[in-house]
Amino acid sequence: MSDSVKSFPLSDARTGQTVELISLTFNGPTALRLAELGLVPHTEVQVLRARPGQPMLLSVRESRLALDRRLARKVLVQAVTGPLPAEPRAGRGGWMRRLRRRRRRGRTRG
Amino acid sequence: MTLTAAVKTAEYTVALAGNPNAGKTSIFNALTGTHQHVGNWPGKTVERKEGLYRRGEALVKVVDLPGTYSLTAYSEEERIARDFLVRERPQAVVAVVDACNLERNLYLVLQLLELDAQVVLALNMSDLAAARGLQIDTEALSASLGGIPVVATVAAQGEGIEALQEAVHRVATGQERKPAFRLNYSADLETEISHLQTLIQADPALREGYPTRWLAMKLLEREFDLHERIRATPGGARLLAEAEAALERLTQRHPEGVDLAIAEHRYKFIHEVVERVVDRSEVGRSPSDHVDALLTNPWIGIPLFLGVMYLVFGLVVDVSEPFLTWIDATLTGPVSGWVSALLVALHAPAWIHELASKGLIAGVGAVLAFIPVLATLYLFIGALEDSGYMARAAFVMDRMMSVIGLHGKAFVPMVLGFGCSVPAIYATRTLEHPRDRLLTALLVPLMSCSARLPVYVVITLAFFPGHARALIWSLYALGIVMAIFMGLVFSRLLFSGQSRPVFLIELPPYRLPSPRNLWLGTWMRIRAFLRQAGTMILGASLAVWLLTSLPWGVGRLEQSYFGRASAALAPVFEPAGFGTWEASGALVTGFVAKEMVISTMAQIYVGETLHGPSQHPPVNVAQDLQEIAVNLLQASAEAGRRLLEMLTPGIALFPAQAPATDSALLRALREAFTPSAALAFVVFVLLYVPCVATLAAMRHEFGTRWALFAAVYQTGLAWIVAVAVHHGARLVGLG
Repeated sequence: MSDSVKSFPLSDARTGQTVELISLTFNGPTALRLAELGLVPHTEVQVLRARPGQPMLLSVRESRLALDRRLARKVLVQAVTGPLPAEPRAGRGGWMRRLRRRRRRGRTRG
Repeated sequence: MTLTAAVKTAEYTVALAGNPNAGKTSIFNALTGTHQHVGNWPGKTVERKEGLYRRGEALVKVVDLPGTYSLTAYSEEERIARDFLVRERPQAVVAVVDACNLERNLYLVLQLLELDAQVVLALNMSDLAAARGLQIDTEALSASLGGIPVVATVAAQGEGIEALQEAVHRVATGQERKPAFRLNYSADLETEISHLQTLIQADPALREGYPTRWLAMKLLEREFDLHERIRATPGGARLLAEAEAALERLTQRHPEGVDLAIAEHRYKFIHEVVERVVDRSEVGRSPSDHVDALLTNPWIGIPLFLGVMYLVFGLVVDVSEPFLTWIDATLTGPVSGWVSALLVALHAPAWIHELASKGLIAGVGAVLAFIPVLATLYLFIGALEDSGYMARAAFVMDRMMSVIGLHGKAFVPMVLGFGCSVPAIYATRTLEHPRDRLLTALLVPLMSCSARLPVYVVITLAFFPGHARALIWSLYALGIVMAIFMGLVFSRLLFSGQSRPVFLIELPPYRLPSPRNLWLGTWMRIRAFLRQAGTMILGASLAVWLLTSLPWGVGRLEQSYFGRASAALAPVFEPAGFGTWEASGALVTGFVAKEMVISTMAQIYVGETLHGPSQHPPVNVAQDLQEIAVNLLQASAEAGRRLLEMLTPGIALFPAQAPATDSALLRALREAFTPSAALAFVVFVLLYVPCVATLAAMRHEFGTRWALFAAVYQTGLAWIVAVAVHHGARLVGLG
């Protein structure tokens, strides 16, 4: 694990993003279970669904896993494709926020 | 020869291992057909399936191990599978592998090989893999895994089963050489493994009991539940100390954990194998993902799931009802007629007549009454499960259920509980963790089942005719509130050591359920129910009959043992306002079946007979049989009509009208109870000890201790709430 790569918790990844697993930041039986399901370092993970208040839906080695957010927070990944989490959350904030953002944008333009 | 006897004479044993959803059940069914037996692993709540098949002269025993992702002792299922393989040493192990998901599935295969098992790999659902454009080189796969036989199968269609049996036979009879497979880990790990191996070699008890390399690795993987067994052997303590030292040395180089390093290494190897043997040049995107995008959206997924549950609930309760009526009519009509004609012909004494008609036939009826309900339940739950939908439902329901410490999947048994607690308790099998299963089963009886409804209707009509509907709704709501409350209490107190397991499930690809698997699963489980729970229900109803008829020739119910026992029990209910022998008597029979509360009350208060003395016309077997057949056809037609009705909108959760009750009973009740006592009484009926069938189901699933616990906690809860309601009602001015 080097500090040069931009790593972030899996829970911050967004729908449609592909990430690479760097490490699990915990151990014990649950960490081992994640590893046994294929979530080991260097594994590519596709985020199929990341919605607040729901487990995350991932594609790992051809299988679909639903993962508690509490766990996803303890999984360190780096981006392979898709926007970096530091960028503004486009399209993923729900329709309310999108609407508000659009309005704000309109106002600055006018 | 019975199945159990045949199993003992089997020539060799083959175990089935595999991931959940890899099609293990299909392979098991394809191998054994109806020659199977469903039970539980001794002392466990995990289902154990065992079966037989014949290959040439040889009789082969098949043990279906629980579906697991690995053989680490993470869950009870994995411990069971691992212990069976280590202790029983089956002559062959069929590793059932989903060809569409080779990489993840091979992890378990690797562990089986490291355990020195005689593995035959069944590459199942190979047709689906081919359809998706995955080309798997079976020979290369076999070669990569030390030469184990690899057989492509499509178990749902029975394809490849013969080849599989042949491969198993060759392996089990030693015609196939043992695979020479060994996965080498990093140098530092290998040093420690061989160091521990020499220690294990030196100890005969360990050397005999376990494959040495496997045991050495398990020590490094921190499989603590093996420690006790190791400590018991002469060299055990030293070995454990050495293992601890080795782990300390290794942890410096593998800070992430030695077990994780081992898992990573295995996957690295598997990945290379898969790259080599699978041609994925033509793979398209799985259509499952598009469906998932819809089903896992809470705005679509939750309403859809509620709709599905409404349908299943309606099917389990409504569609099975005509068959229930048919069973009842057949037993009380023709069958009773035949039995009494037979007894008359045999000049049997009067008490045998009584025993047969009121004890035995009524008891058998009580048992058979569950078959239509359970059959529809198993069929539909099985279909939801096998199609892959259940995992999606758990996904969307998880947030709601997590409030009371339950898993998303627990929603299904809870809803079914509104129909009948018995199938609901069996439905807890769909949950993965024993803790979730037990917690759900303890809460299920608090959902007001349909048998309790008549009691509410009669009492509310007698005392609160203007508010009957609102009161009945409040009782349902009270049950739910109590379930939430007890869920919080139990997950804090009873399971405080085990926090709610984190939500981590696989969403299997959508598949069309196989009718054959559904039917076999349903039939086997119903057989198990009849054998295990059926005897207890029959026994209880015989016991109640006996108590009401003893001492022999007793004229009035009050003087029977039953009446005296009820009178002795009555003071307990004094604080709740209904401390009379009549009320407690009705509650006692309600323990046999909640439906009986009202019929007992009618008998006691109005003097109606519980089961009327049956006067049968002369027996005409041919005519009777014809009548039974015609009734069955009518029942099927009625069930079909209801099924259609279910699929068309129009909601009627409660039956349109109250069960026919004469005003005599209502009047008698108004004299016997004060309004506040009546209210306390229905609350008690809602919450008190689940009926004997529910307890039998609990005992079947979780053992006697938990069944007793359920009975005690619920009765205690019911008493406390009933007393509170009684006094509360009086405080607000209800008489």
